[in-house]
Amino acid sequence: MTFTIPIDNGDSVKNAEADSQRTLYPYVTGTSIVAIKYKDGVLMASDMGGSYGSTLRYKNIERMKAIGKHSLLGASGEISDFQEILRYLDELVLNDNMWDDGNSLGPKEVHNYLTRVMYNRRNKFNPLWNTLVLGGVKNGESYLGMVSMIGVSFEDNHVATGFGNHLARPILRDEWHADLSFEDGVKLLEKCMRVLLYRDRSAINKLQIAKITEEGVTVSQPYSLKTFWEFKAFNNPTAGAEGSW
Amino acid sequence: MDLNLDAPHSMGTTIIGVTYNGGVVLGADSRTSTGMYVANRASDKITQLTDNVYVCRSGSAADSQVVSDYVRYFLHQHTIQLGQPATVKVSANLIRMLAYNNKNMLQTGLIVGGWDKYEGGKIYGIPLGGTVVEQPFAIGGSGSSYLYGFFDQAWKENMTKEEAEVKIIYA
Repeated sequence: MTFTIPIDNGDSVKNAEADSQRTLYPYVTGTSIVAIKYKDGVLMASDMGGSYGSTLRYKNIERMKAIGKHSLLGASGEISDFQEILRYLDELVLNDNMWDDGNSLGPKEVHNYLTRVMYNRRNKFNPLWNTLVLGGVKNGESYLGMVSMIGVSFEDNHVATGFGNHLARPILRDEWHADLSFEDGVKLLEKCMRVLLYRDRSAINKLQIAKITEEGVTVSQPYSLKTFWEFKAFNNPTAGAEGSW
Repeated sequence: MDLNLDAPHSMGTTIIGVTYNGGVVLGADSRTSTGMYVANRASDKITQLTDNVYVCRSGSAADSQVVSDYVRYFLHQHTIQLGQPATVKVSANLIRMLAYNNKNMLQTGLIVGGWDKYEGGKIYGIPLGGTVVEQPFAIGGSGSSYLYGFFDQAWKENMTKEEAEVKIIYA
């Protein structure tokens, strides 16, 4: 249901803005998502920050949500667009349940739906300003894919958005292997999230890890990572130049 | 110094909403500025939507007023159809609907606060862009930058109404 305040921009032949509405820039944004396939399914990690430009304004945003029985969606980018996507998916899942035929939407289907939505919005020059990560398990098969705000879509064994592309992916390329145990998977994700915490200005030390297996989705309680700051140079900072500050 | 009297009326505001054990307390300053000139020094930035839901307005004065007016109108109809008072969540969602779908044109940040029998006192922050964030307390407006640190250290759960009021006035 939408309500657009009626505005009369006039003749759309002469006035270029009359019939186009475009998202120009994001306001409240979430930073990276990192996700990997493991032995029993998919693990996904995100922090709980919502930035407003360079201010870290919100510290309790959940950027990963369960979709139906088989999928988990994580988003980075504009939070209001993510909330809108969740509404679209609610409708999708509701209609799926109404068939009452024993079948339910799997991660492949949800990923495809999201790809279509993102690409079509991009074509209208009014993108949903998000990069989405879609993971899930159905009938024993794990699935992990990604869709960007311009509709680029693919699947892989490990994905990351935003800064994670630059910082987490190299780690995952080196250290991911098939059939990771849950503990190893979490350790690997935590390693990536720690690097992001050190090097991504918009990251905060309050993260959640979500797990999806054949049994369903669990999102962990928020927790924080231990970080290392015991650099020797901090112990006696003026050692090389007595009297300086 | 030049007074740009044609500048849009923006509020230059500080708005605060706080939950306590039993409901919510809302606070706001009363200055509306047009550039450097104070157009109204007695503005009421806390606006009633229903008997049990109010909204604090910041950003463009016109935008926030017109959004409040539409939502008050919708909530009035909704209350009649529902047969009981509207919930705070529904009020916040209606504001969100307008804020999100018109994000290209609107420039207003709002804090919706109220009490209903299902969830008790609730505060919802709706910044630019139309994100909805349910929070135990919310701050907004350009003046709120100075308050992030204050509330990070001063806020605690389950304050009494008097404690909440004192904190807000101090802020």
